[in-house]
Amino acid sequence: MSWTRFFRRRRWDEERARELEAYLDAETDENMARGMSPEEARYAAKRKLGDTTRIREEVYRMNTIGWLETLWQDVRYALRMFVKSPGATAVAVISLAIAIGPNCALFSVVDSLILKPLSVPGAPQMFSLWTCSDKKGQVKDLSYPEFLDYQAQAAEIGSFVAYERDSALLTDSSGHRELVPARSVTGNYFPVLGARAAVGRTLGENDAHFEGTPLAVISYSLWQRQFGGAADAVGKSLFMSGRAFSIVGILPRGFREPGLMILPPDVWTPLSAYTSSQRTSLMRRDAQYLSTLVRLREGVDLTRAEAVLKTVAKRLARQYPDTNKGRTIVLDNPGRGAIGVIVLSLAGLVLLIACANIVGILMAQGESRRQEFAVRVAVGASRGRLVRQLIAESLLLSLAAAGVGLLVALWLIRPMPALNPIPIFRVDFDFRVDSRVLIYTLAVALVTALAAGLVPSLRASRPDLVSTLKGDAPRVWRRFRLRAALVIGQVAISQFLLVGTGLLVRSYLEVERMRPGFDPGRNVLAAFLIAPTEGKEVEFARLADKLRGLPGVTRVGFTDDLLLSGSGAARHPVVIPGVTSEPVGVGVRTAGAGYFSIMGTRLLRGRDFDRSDFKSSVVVNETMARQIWGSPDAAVGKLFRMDGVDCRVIGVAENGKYFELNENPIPFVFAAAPLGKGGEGTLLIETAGPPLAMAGTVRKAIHDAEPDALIMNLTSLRQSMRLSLFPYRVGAGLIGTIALLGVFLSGVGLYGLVSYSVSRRTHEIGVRVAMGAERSDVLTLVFRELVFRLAIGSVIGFAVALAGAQILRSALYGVSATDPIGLTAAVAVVAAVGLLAAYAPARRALRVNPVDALREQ
Amino acid sequence: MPKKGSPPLQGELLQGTLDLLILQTLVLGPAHGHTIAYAIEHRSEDVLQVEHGSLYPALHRLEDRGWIASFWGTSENNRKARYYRLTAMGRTQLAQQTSRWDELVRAVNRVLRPSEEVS
Repeated sequence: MSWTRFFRRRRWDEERARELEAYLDAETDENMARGMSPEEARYAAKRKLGDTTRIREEVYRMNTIGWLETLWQDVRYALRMFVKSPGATAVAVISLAIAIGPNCALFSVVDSLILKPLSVPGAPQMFSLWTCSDKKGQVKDLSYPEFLDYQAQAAEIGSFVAYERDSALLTDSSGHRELVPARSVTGNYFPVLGARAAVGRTLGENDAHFEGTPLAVISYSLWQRQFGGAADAVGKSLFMSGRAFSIVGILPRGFREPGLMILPPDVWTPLSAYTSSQRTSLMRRDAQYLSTLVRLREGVDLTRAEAVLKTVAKRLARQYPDTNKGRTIVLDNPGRGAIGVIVLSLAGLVLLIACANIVGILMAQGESRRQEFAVRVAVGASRGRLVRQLIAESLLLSLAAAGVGLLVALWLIRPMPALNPIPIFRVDFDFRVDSRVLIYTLAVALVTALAAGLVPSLRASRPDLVSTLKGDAPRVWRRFRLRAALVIGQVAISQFLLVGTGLLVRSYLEVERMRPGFDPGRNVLAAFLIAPTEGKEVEFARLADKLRGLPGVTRVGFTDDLLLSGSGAARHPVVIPGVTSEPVGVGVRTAGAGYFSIMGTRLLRGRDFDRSDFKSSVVVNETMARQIWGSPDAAVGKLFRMDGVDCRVIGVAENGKYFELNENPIPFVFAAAPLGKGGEGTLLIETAGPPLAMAGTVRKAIHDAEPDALIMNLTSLRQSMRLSLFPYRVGAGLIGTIALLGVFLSGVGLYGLVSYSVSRRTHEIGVRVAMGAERSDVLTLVFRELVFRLAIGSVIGFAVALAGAQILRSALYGVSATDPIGLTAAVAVVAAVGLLAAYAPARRALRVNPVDALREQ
Repeated sequence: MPKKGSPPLQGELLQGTLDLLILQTLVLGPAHGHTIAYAIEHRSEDVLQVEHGSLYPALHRLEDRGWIASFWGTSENNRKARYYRLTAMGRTQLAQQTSRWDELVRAVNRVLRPSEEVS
């Protein structure tokens, strides 16, 4: 059977018809020649040929592809059905679309941030390496000499690469400066990762030399931004931190390295391109800031790798006790797909709720079409045929919904990159609806169609023939129970999501309210400045004087980096002979005169820094005071050595959060820093009025006084706190939106159920009212079942939520999983939605005219 | 309720034979459906009463396989009719099918009349 015949079957059929006509004519002629009359001749000819229709049918059938033909029939039929009941169709499509849309948008985000990095070739065999102390479990990166040791001594398990995460200050030809994320990599980085350049080449082992022009590889997006995608960009110079690098290659668009990548790098340079001073610090054993990855060889599994690495670690601990004592190695798979899966699953729950609605609609439709199905079965349709037909209908529905959903997703994705919480870096979020998202959407649509369509079609295809054809009322209780069960499921899921939302929202509010060891409400503007190039310095003292002279500025203080800014989280070991048994890792910040009073940090003992303090004066926090000396009182006046400098404790500050909002208590040291010159630092400008109002003035003043200095960040304390709060806000917002969608869709489902219940029981209501039932009795009738179902659904939802809340515990702050306020709020929301949904049907029930109801059967 | 059943074995055998008869008829030259139908009847001395209607699906099938080809022409009484002719592939098939038919006949004869062994 050929394809040309398939597509032109109608034409063939017409030809066939003409051919048969020709036969009839020829036969008629012959018959007439034999002596019959024209009518007899024609009649005899027809009899001789047989049933022309049957012949044509047989030939036509030989030309068709069976299943394609029936599929096309099904589709046309389904479309006719939809046109007949546009209301129900619209509800179904929109209902699904608002569930599919967010699903796809979320998938796009998760795909871009998490899944694509995981699918980098060789990703399953790539592991991140950290050292961690046996006791405290605190992980650190490796130093370069350490890395070389592992590379040499553990070579049997695989290839090791290392890189330093950094930021690079790029200057383009017009003098415009941009800070981009960058990486300095070992010579074998790109070969081990299996990365290829789109244009030019990547860095290789041969580029690991210290002489000559340093080389660089840039990202696709940087190529577009700074060179406009020019073909001759390779070989051009890139000006980074005052040095010229020669570009040797450009990486392909969408290039990804293993690991969760919020800030994909724009520039890669070899470690050998370091300046001599950078190199000196690189070679130090205690400069532990290289991120290390190992790509395991074929056939090497995780346990063996860990065993080998631990052996090397022990050896190093013996050889270099200062840096490596008590430290062992830890392997982990970079990039957590788990978060993405969890988020997508939650969004998928909403899809389930929408599906339940669709099932309800389809079942109601199936019921009103039972006559049609009964007739079809009576005339000879097989059950499979009916089921195929109905599945085709639900497939069309979900494909339409997927189409609309994609539009919704596009609309949702557009504003997302603007949510970039880190204003310092230019980030290119690449959220788009690409083929992967389309495939995902299609898969979702297919699964939805099957899930929603299967049960209703199985039900509808088995009609009770006799009673239906007679016109009896249907026996509906089984269908009703199924719909009721679905609604209970919807309520349960909604409750689950609502409880989760409640927890996250409360958590966020708690975090926002808490004191992080300083007062975010103080009117302080923080200006983080860096010198434009390596080796240059910013005159902070002079700048501070200028700023103090500005109207509206009361005081100016200084620190190296704001707390909770996400950087400078290294711990410095402190050893006090006779007091500490082992090194205590403390966090460190430098602070200028008046720091504590400007920041609003309470001092428990001692005094604030003043101008006379030099580097030797330190203020410790309460945790450190208690941990080392036993109490804040005992700490004042004590001496200890840190980083080769003798320190004297002049005060004890209240505890606070230093690096992350949900960290455990950390011992912390504030070291006095006399205001002078430096490569980078943060000026703390206390203003009389709202700090952000002064931002423009301050910026101009800084620019006037130090035109070369770069203002990397100018923010108020409150705004800076918001950055730390961002994950909590995002989490609460995301789950909240999902929960609201789910609740809305459940409401629709509830409405459908109650409405259906009321219309089925109109007769019963009529009887009751005629027998003297009051309005309240009718309402009880309507609501009793509703409340019953809401209750069951809620209980199930709570049970699941409580079980799942254990997982959330690390993300929660200050809220227990069984928070009563949250649970009450969730119940209240669902109850409100239930009432709203039942409002219209209840009114209808009340208005039932018993006479009409009794007459209608 | 009518169920779609498979044609009886007898019917299938007849189908293949019908194809053979058609091909043979066309050896003598192109013909249209009406002529082929009567040719088969006449040459078999009216023993083979083929239902004329079943001829057309058979013709369609043969054309699909490429054993015959069709063209529109004028018939004896000046009407337009669809003619069929044998293709090269059809000729080969005819030879093959004919020899197979002969084998079949010989085999059946051997079973029915074992005494009359034909060498």
